[in-house]
Amino acid sequence: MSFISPEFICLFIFCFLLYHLTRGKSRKTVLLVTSGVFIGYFHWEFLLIALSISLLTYNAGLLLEKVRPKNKSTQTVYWTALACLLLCWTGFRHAESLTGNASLLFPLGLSFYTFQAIAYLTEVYWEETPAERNLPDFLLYMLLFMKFLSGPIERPNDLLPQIKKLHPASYDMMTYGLKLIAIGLIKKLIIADHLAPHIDEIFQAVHTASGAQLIMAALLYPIELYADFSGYTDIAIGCAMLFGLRLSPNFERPFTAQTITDFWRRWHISLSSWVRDYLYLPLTSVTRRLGQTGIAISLIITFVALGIWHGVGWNFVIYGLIQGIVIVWEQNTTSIRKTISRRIGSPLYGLLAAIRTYLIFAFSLIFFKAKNMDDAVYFIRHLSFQTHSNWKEIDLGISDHICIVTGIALLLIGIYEYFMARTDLLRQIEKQPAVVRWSIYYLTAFLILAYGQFGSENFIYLQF
Amino acid sequence: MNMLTQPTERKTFRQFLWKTQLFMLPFWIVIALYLYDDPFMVLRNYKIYDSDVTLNEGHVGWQIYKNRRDSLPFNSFLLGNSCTMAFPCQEWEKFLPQGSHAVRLFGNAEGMKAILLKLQALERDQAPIRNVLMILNRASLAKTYQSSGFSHILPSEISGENPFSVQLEFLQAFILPEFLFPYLQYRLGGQITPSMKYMNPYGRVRNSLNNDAINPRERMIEQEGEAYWEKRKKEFPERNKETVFAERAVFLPQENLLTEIATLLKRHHTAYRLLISPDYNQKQLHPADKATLEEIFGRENVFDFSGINRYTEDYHFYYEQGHYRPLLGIELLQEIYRPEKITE
Amino acid sequence: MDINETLEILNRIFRQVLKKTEITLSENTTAHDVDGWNSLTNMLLISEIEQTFQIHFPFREIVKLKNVGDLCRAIISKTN
Repeated sequence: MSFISPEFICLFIFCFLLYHLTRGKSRKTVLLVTSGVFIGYFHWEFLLIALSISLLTYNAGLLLEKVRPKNKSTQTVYWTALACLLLCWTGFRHAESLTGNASLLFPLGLSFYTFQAIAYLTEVYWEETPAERNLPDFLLYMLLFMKFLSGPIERPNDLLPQIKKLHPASYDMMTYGLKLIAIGLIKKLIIADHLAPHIDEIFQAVHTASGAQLIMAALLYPIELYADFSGYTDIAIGCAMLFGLRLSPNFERPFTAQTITDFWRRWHISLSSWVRDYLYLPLTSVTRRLGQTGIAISLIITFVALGIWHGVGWNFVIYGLIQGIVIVWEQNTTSIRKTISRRIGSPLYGLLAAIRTYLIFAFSLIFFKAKNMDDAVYFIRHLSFQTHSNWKEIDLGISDHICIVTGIALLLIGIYEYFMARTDLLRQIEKQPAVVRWSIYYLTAFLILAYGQFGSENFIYLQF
Repeated sequence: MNMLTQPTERKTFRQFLWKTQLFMLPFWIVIALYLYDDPFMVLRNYKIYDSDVTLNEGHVGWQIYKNRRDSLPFNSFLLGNSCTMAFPCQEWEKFLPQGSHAVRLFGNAEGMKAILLKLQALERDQAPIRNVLMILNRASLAKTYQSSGFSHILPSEISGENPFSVQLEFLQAFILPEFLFPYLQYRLGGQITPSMKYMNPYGRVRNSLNNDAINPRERMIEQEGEAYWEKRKKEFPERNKETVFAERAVFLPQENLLTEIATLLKRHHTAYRLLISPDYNQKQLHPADKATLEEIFGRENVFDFSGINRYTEDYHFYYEQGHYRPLLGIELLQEIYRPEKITE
Repeated sequence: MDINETLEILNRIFRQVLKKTEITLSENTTAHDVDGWNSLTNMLLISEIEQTFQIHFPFREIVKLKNVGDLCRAIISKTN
């Protein structure tokens, strides 16, 4: 079920009312049942798979604690459970190519909750968190509907304590949640969905686009992806706030990053910190005798894995590899960057570095977005300033009206994010007089209703 | 502790509900008006599709088709852009076998994608697709995507999109200030002024039985005679007498769409004709495009009237640069349904 | 070896590995407080510490170290 489908809106309102009309334990039941409906609404098999994986993880966690005092090997339990999870995930990823049956669907959210399960088991294994004994609490941790489809990938220590002390949100928290949802809707409906069909068309038929159109599509895609995914995340976090739950942030103004290293601390944070803690750090521990080389090897393996997490195909490997190689490169050139920064002054350097980071990321996304390796290679070889007929075609067929609407929305979101780094704008609004406040609310609601592109219910990260 | 927090929790919840409903109130009112008025005639079924509001042609055409589906089903379909207005269904039927019933399923600035979707919808609906006439120009050939927005969006039964999101598009158009404010003004005053965008000041513009167009300019020509063109010299610029070719329009994506259309038509053994409109500006379709069309649809079914010829020379055939009159349409029908052409 | 001596040595290692002369560690210092001490340099520091003190940290022990104080105590318990 998608966040911007009528089914979800009905389910959400129903759940919200019930949650506030019940008390105590029945609130957990409300959330759990809603999550079940949310996951299994179109395909009950998806719910079955999610439940099985949750139960496996739950029992593995308990078993880990059970064998630990008896000095039996917790390693065997941990690695067996991990292997099961990864096998299941890989199985579904490759189901289509293994069975040749194209009708097999990749279960919604599988990549996200598998990673959450691994995070949980690892934390229990490392004795960083106790195994969860209460099954409903654990199921909520795994299946909570706001974060089920595309994260944030929550850590047990962040989410489980909140689920245990479930209570309705304060008035401020609820209105804050609504504002975040509005921001998410602007990003998703006014920016991402207006750009998507045109960029998709170029990537679907790379052979018919002109060089200039390819450049334009490559340059715009990071914006679409960001608006889509961070829009989704804002909606998810906002929805959770209406129930008094705080989910982890996933984006921290990524396009202000001056290096790719920094970029990955700001982009899809819950995934990048996941691979850092559960893959990269163990890898560096193993390779620590090799010094810088060890770190480089670990980085490259980690980012290739992060690439593969997104899908099957060499293009995703290359996507990860580019990130890894650039970060290794950046590790060894810190002094050069400092010298340049001193020479040309830090404001100019900051701008140029941010542009450089954007361009590298945009380039790597060609591999991420292209249908396959051949298309990606063709795409890159044909990037040029040549047009089929005239310069007008670089608008990719987006009408002037939409260009203006999307452009203004983009500018507004840019300003919003710029100021959010300094002070919480959403809180600032609350301090304004009622007239100003309500004018802003009406304007926002109107913007979304009038200029949102409601046709598509799809989010890009649903496929991963 | 728990007991103490309960009443405040309830209070917060009530306050939140009350505030959100208060906020939503204006929206509820506008939505209620929309549901009551159904300005775009998309919420309920109608027998007569006349309105003071500019309607969505895709929806109207499809409804007219459906209205007759169970009594006297259509088996001949006039597809293409707004220039289909020059081809009244009754006139076309004269050239078709006995028992043919024609309906016009056009779209403004129609592209090949929409034509394919309409044919596929007819196929799903098990309509007998006996005859098809496609009225196209270079722009319709080039266009591979379906425009969005309330005036172009196709009914969900044709596009396969979620019906709810299609309906939402209309509601959204209603809320847009450029529509809503003139509409409220019209609703209160009952008058349409020329400044009202998206309103139709001409009254009846279609025959609700087969979607034939009734162009108000035809009446103006009747009344004004030659003066109609004299007064509108600006709308009819002089043409230079040289053959100018339009840029190519048909590339791989267009070719794929056209092939899909042809395959569908051949599957139904449809008698089809494809007509490139006589363009007032006399730009001729690119020979490569024409060759592709002939290859896909068969040379005997493709009729290109663009460029300099006796039809485009005579400005009396035109309402304005973009549209021509049934007078010309009927001549073209005679040309493309010439008996020797059929036996060729 | 006591905690101050250990801190002294750690200071030297940190300054050398992170190439920053202004670093002064205390027991409560965490990675957040030191510019350049991040996931990319952490293992370089650990590896340098291990070589200096001739000790070895298993990975799970590293995970548990929350600040410099923890690190010092771990070093002391391993060297004594």
